[in-house]
Amino acid sequence: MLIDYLPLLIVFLAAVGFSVFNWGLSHLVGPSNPDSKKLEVYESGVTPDSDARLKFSIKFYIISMIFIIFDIEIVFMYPWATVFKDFLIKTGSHFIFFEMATFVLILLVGYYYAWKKGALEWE
Amino acid sequence: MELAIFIVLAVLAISSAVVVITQKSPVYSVLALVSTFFALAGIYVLLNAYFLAMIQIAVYAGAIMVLFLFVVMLLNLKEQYYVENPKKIIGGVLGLAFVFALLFPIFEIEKNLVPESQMPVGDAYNIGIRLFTDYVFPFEIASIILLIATVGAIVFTKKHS
Amino acid sequence: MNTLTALQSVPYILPEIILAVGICVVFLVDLFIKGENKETVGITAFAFFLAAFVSLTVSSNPPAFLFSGMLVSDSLNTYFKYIFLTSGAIATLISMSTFTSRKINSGEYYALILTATLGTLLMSGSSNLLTIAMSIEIVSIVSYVLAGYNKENMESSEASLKYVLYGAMSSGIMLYGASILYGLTGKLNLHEIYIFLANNSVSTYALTFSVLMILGGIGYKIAFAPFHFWCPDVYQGSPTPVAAFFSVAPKAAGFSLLLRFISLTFTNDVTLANWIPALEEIGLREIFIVVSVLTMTIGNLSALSQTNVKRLLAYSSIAHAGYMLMGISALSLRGAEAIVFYLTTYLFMNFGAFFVVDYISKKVKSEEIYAFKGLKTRAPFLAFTMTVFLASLTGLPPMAGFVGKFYLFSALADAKLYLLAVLGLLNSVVSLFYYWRIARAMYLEDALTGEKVEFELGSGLLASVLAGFTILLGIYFNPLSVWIQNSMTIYFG
Repeated sequence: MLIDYLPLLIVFLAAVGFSVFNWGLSHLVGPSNPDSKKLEVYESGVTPDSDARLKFSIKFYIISMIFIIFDIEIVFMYPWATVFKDFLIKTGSHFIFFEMATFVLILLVGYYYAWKKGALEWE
Repeated sequence: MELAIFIVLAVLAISSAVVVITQKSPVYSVLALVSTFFALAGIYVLLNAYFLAMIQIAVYAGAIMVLFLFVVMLLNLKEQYYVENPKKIIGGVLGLAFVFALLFPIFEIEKNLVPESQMPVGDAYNIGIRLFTDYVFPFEIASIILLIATVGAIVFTKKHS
Repeated sequence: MNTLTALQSVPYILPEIILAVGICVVFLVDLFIKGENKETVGITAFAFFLAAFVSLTVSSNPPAFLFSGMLVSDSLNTYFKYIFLTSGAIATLISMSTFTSRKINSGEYYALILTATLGTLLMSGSSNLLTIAMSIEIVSIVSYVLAGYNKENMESSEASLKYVLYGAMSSGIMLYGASILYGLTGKLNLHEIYIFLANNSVSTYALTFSVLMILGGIGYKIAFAPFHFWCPDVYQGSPTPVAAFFSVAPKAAGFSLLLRFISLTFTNDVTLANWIPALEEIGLREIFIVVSVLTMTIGNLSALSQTNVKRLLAYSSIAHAGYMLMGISALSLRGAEAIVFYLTTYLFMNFGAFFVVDYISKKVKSEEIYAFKGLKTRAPFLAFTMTVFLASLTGLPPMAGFVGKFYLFSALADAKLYLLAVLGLLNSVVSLFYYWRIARAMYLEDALTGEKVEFELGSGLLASVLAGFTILLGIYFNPLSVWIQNSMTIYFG
């Protein structure tokens, strides 16, 4: 079973190797004589006038929070979709459909709540 | 071979976890946490928990790390918040003692391990079968927890109109 | 063993389903109601509590394991469900008056109370490590939101943050313990763990560690020492109705879970007289003796120096958890009965005390003890009910608290834990001092102003109902006691 994952490992190593190789190469080959101007933060040619770490708005946080919640919902749907057909054939009942329907319905209440409270709007 | 992969992943996981708690800058901590999550995903694959490994990368290394980064940016802590505290040493010693105490039970569990040939495969299909028969109740409860998490996030962040 | 599948289990969890539907409906009602007046939402939530309560009284299901052993349904569980539903309903009623007068937008609040109650119902029914962890998680997550619900107040936000930090840590520790227990036995179902432990020997060290860590997770909900540090700060910072709810429902749920976890894992004897040797090996009785003494002593001694009444009641609730833990260390059926009786009386007296504090702080705008000065002239009826609650909390006859303590101490005497009983009695004496300080302020000290505290009919009614039960259960306790004895059949399959 583990051998099935060998291609994945190769791709992973190739990706890491490619970036490390190029990065290392430019370090080795490229000339390096820094001065104070060169070490400044790169701002597309404009002189930087403040810290790069500025305070993010809380809007980002709430969007990513809602994203995670629906991300996890999808996580549950994935195995559900995989077994759905077999379940119908083997048990002959639609129970599995209602299981997911209940789950989604409860989450829809949360979605509707977020919508109505304006959490999805970018004011 | 598997042992070698495991050791590499385990060392990666632990060393990046140590970086997480020793880094001064929270952004670096978060990035180190990503590498811990990747290493853990690899360990899950070794344990035949393929679905879990995928989730680990999609949800933890993806979505949750983004959330962490946003929170770090939101708080935007400056260096002066890191106070050197003598209690840190006591805490560290106690923490280490706790970690070692936690490690010992693991060696006891070894006796009950399932033989490798019987190790079940944790792919999406097998998880689905278990999740929608025996574990359907915790599954439905999860929706309530997610609902409350949504509401909680909105209650705390939204201004009352 | 009667283990039901998912579809067969549905009639057994009717109250839970009603609450879950209630959560969704209350959210929707909140969204459709415009304006500041959210009392309709509260009334809807109350109606669902009532419906769940009624469904519990009319249904009579034989005991069984539900959902392939995820939950257990038996008479003990049913009794606890009454306690949780009652405390949820009382919390809703208290909140309605408080939130309207303080103009806190309270729409989703009632849905959160419903969810917390649902979580406590599930906690008491859990018979599987997975459902235990998940139900605790529901209660915890809702509690974080409820604690910080009053966002404009810095203390409330601080309470929420502290609660999250402690909660996340203890959940993590509990899950680690559960994973070790699973690793040792290969089972998640508590009854199956019992069967494994009865027939196989496992490493005592690993078992002790895992059980201790699971107890840590439950102990954080009950707030027993050394997991009590969050308690005073959270109670003080939270809105008072929420603090009242926290001090009763999750605590009761923690105790029911503790009873369930210990009994299902270490015995299959309905009389709780025979335990498997593993219990002796990990020294569970000794652990609980130490923990209960620590908890009540820390709670009582810290309460002595408090000036904020909410904080004082927080420490007092820690002390009460300590008294009830003495019942656990008896490891007997009588000990368990005593705990359940105590919890029932505690429900009325503690809600009552918090309710009066809430009412006074609403009118006088202070939660300090001096706000209670001269209450006998400013609000004679409230002063009287508060005295009833305080006397009951102290354990003075003829109040319910006295009967509760009496049952506890006799259970201890039965188990030959005399020293523990003496320590418990000494602690009750200490508690007299700080409860007396409030009573003294009300009756013997002069008021800062002569102004009367406005009397509201609804609040007066609620206070008198709570006080009525506190006195009634102190005098006429036999029916309740019989009911509890009949409910004490834990289902072992």
